[in-house]
Amino acid sequence: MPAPSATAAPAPPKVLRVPEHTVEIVSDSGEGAQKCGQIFGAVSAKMGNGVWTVELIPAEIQPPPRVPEGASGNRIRVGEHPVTNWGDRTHLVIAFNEQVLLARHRVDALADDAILLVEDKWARSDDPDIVAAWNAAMKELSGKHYRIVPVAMEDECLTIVDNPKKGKNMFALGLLARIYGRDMELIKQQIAHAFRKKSEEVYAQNVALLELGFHWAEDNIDIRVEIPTHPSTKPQVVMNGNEAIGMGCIASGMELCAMYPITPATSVSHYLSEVFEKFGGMVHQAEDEIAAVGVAIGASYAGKVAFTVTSGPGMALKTEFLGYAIMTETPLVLVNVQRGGPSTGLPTKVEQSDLLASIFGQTGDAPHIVMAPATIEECFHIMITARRLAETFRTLVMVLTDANLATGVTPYDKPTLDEKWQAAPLDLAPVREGQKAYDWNKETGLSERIIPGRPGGMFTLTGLSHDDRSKVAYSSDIHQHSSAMRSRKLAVLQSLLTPPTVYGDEKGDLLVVGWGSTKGAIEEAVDRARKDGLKVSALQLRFLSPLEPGLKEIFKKFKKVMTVEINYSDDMGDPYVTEENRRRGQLSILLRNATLVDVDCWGRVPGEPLRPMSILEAIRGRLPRGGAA
Amino acid sequence: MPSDPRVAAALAALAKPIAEFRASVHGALQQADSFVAAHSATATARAAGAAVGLGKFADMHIDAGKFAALFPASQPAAPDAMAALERAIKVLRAVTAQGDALFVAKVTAGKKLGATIDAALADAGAAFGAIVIAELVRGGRYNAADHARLLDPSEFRAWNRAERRFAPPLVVEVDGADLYAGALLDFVDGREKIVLVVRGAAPPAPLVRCVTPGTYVLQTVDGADLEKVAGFEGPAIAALVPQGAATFAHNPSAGNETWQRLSVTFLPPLPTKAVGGFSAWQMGEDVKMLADLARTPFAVPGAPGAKSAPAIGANDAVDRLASWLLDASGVSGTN
Repeated sequence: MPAPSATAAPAPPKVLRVPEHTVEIVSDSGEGAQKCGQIFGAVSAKMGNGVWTVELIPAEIQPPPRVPEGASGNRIRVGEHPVTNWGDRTHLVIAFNEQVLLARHRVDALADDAILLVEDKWARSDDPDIVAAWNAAMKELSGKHYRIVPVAMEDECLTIVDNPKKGKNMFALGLLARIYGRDMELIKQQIAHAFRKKSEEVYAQNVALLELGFHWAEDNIDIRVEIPTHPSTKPQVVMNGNEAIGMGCIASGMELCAMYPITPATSVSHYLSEVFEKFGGMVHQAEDEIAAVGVAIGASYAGKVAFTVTSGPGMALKTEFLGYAIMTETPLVLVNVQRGGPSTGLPTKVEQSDLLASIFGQTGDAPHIVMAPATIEECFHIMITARRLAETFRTLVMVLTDANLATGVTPYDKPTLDEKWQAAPLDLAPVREGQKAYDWNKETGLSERIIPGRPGGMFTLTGLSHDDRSKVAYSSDIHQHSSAMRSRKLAVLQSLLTPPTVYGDEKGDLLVVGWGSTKGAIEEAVDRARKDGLKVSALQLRFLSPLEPGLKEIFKKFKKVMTVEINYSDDMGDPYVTEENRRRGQLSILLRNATLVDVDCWGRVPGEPLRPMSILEAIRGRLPRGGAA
Repeated sequence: MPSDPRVAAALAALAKPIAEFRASVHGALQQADSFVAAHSATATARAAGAAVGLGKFADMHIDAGKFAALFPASQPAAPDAMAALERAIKVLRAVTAQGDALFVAKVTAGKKLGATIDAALADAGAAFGAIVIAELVRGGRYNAADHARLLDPSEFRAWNRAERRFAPPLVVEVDGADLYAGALLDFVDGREKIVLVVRGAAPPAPLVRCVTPGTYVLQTVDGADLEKVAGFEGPAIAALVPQGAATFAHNPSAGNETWQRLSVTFLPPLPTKAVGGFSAWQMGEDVKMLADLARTPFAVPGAPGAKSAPAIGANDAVDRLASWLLDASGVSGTN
C-alpha cells in the first residue's frame, strides 16, 4: 500500500479549541522521543497548562528496532486546568516508524479520530520486507478513523545533520511547537538546559532542527490546537515523582541515601548524586540491595538520617534487614517504587502489587508504618513526614510509590521549605541517669532513642529478642512484652491520624477506595459518574499501616464499597472463582479485615496506569442496571 | 576592624578553627533556646510547631495537637535547672556577641603575654561551661550542687581534654620586647592555635623555645604557611615577626627527627644588641639552638681535591644552615 500523500497546498489551518489534548511521541529506543516529550510537557506547564506526562518504556533495555514491543516515548496530556492522570486516549501521535505506532494502536491507546504524524521513509525503503511491513501496518490502522499524515522526517533532518537518528526528536518538537502554539523561546531554554553538558554547537544544531520542524508544520500541517493557558500566580516546579522524592529527602534533612540500582527507582539516586553533596548529604551505591539497607540502618543507628530506595525485587532481598530495623527500633525510611511482579516481572511498568508484601512481608511479627503518596507533589512532602515518623516512633517507615508517579511529570506549587525539617535527629545531650536502651512506655510502647555517641548512650544492638536494656533475653514474658511494645506504636499512631476525607458526597450507592497513584484517574472517573447522576464517591488512603481511622463509619454510609487498584484480583464469574476462593485486591483484603465490611474490588495489571474510562466502566458494572441513572 | 593588617591576615588564616568554635557555641545556643522555647510554649504553639515539623503531607492526616501532646519537644526540667540554663544562654550570647574580637588579644603595657592569653582564653572558654550546663539541663542531669560552678571563669589550665580539642584560636598582638616565648608553653595542648603579631624590635628566634615533637611552630615575616598552622591537627604556635628575624617552620608530620621536621628559611646573624629585657647573649642562644636543632646529623666528606665538603642535599635549607655553622665556628670547608 502506498504511503498516504501529504497535503499539497495547505488551506488555512483548522483551529481546534479544546480544554485538553493528549499527545504521544513514539520511537525506537534511543531516538530521543522521550526528551522531545519531556521538553514539550515542561514548556506546556511553564506556559500555564495542566500537564501529566507518562513515559512509555519498553520492557527490554535494548529491544530490536522496528518492532511494536520496542515502542519508547512519552504521552503528554495537556489541559486548560490541572491534569491529574494520563487520561483515556491519545489525540495526536508523532511516530518515528509505523511499528511503534501499531503498538499504541493495539493497546487501544489512540482515539478513533486521532491524528497520526508518521515518518514515511519506510514506505520508500529498498527493503521489500520493510515496505511490506509498512503496507500491512497501514492496512491494520485503516480499521479506525485515524488521520494519517506522512512526514519525511529523515529527509528533512538530513538537510542539517548527518545522522538523523540524533535530531529527529527536535524536528518532532518543532512540529508540536507549531501545532500547539508553544513558546519557542521557552523551548529553546529547555533545550539549553537539556544539553547543558554538551557544546554550544550541539545546542545550535538542535535549535536549527527545532525551527526546521516548526516551519515544516507551518507549511504542511493544516491543523492547530489551542488549549487555553492559565499561568499560575504562585511559583511552580515541574518534575517527576522520583525527582520529588529526591528533593523531599534533601528538604527533610536526610543525610544518606544508600541504594543499589533498580528500575524504576534508580533515577532517585541519579538525581541525588548530582545535588546531594551540595547539601551535605551523600549517595552510597552499595554492592547489592542487602548491603544498601544495612548501610542505611548502620548510619541511622549512629545518629544519622538515612534512607534507602528500591523496587520489588530489591525489597525482597532487604527483607531480613527490614526486620532487623524493626526489632532494633532503628529509624529507617524505605522508598519502594513499585513495578510489575512477581520476581523481576515488569521492570519498567507500573503496578501496585507490593502492598501486602510491604506490610506483612517480613518474618516474625514486624509492625511498621506504610504510607503512599497519591500525587507527585505528595512524593516531595511525604519524605518530611516519613522521616519525622520514623524517628518519633523509632521504626521503619515504608513509602510506596510506583512507576507511574516515578516517571510522570507534572507541575505543582513550589514547596515552602522550613528549617525545622532539617533539625538534628536527636538531642545529643548526655543520656539521662538510669535511662535504658528501650525505656518502653507501657501504654504507648514508645521509648526515647539513644545513640552510642552520646555520653551514657552505649548499648549492644541485637536482632535477638531482648529486654529493655537491649540484653538478649529468651524469656517468654520478655518476648511477649517487647512484641506488644513494638506493636502498640501502630495503635498509637492511628490514634493521632484523622479520618480521611471523602471525595464527593459522604453517602451514596458506591464508594471507590484507592491508594497511591490512582487518585487522579479514580476521581476523574467519579466526576464523570456523578455528572451522569450516579451516587458515587471516592476515598484515597495515604496510610496503609496503620490504616486511617473511621473507615467503618465512612463505609456504612454507602451501599457498596469497592477498591480500585493496579494489582491482580479475580473477577467474580471467572472459571472456578467463588466468593470463598476469590483472590481479592490487596487493599480490599486489608479493608475487609479491618472493618468487616464486604469490600469489593476491581484490579487490573495492564502494565500502564489505569484509564478513567476503564474505572468508570467498572463503577457502572457495580451499580444496578449498569449504572444507568 | 583590626588596625594592623597582619591581624586581619592571621584571622583569615584561622578561619576554619574559628568557624568550628563558633559552630559549637551557635549549636549549643540554638538547642538551649529551643529547649526554653519548648518549655514556655502554649499547647497551641506546640501544636503549630509539631505541624510544621511533620510537613504538609501530614496536614490532612495527622492531628498535630495530639501529636504535640504525646511527644513534647523537650523533657521536663526543674526551676533551678531552667535558671541555670538561662544563665548559660546569657554566657553563650555574650561570647557570640564578641564576634572576631573574641579571637584577638593585645598585650598592653604592664601586662604579661601569658596572663593576656590566659584571660582571653578564659573569656572564650566560658562558653564551655555554658555548653555543658545546657547539655546537662536538656538531658535531665543538672544538679546545682555539682554543676553550678561550671559557669565560673575557667582558665586554660582547668580545661579538660575535650575542651582543649575545641579550644578557640587566638591572635595576640605583642611588642617584641614582651615576647617571652616560655609563657606560650602553658597553652601548647589539644588543638590550641596561637598566632602572635609582633610589633617593633623583637628577638630573632623566640619561638625556637616552643619546638617540641608534637607542636607546629612557625616564624614568618610575610604570613606564608599560616594556613598550615590552622589546619594542623594538634597545638600550633606562630609568630608574624619583623623583617630580619629568623624564619622557620617546625612541622611534626615531616619526620621523626627534629632536623627532619625543622625547616629554616632564614637564619639571622647573632644579635649584638639587647631588646627590652632580652640580652644579646640570651637571644643569641635562641639562634644557636635553632641552628643546632636543624643541623643535619652527619656530613658527606668532600671528594678528593674538592674545595669544600658539601652537606647532604646541598640545596636544601638544612645544608645552608650547616654552611652557616661552619662559617660561624671559623671552620669553613676543608681549605
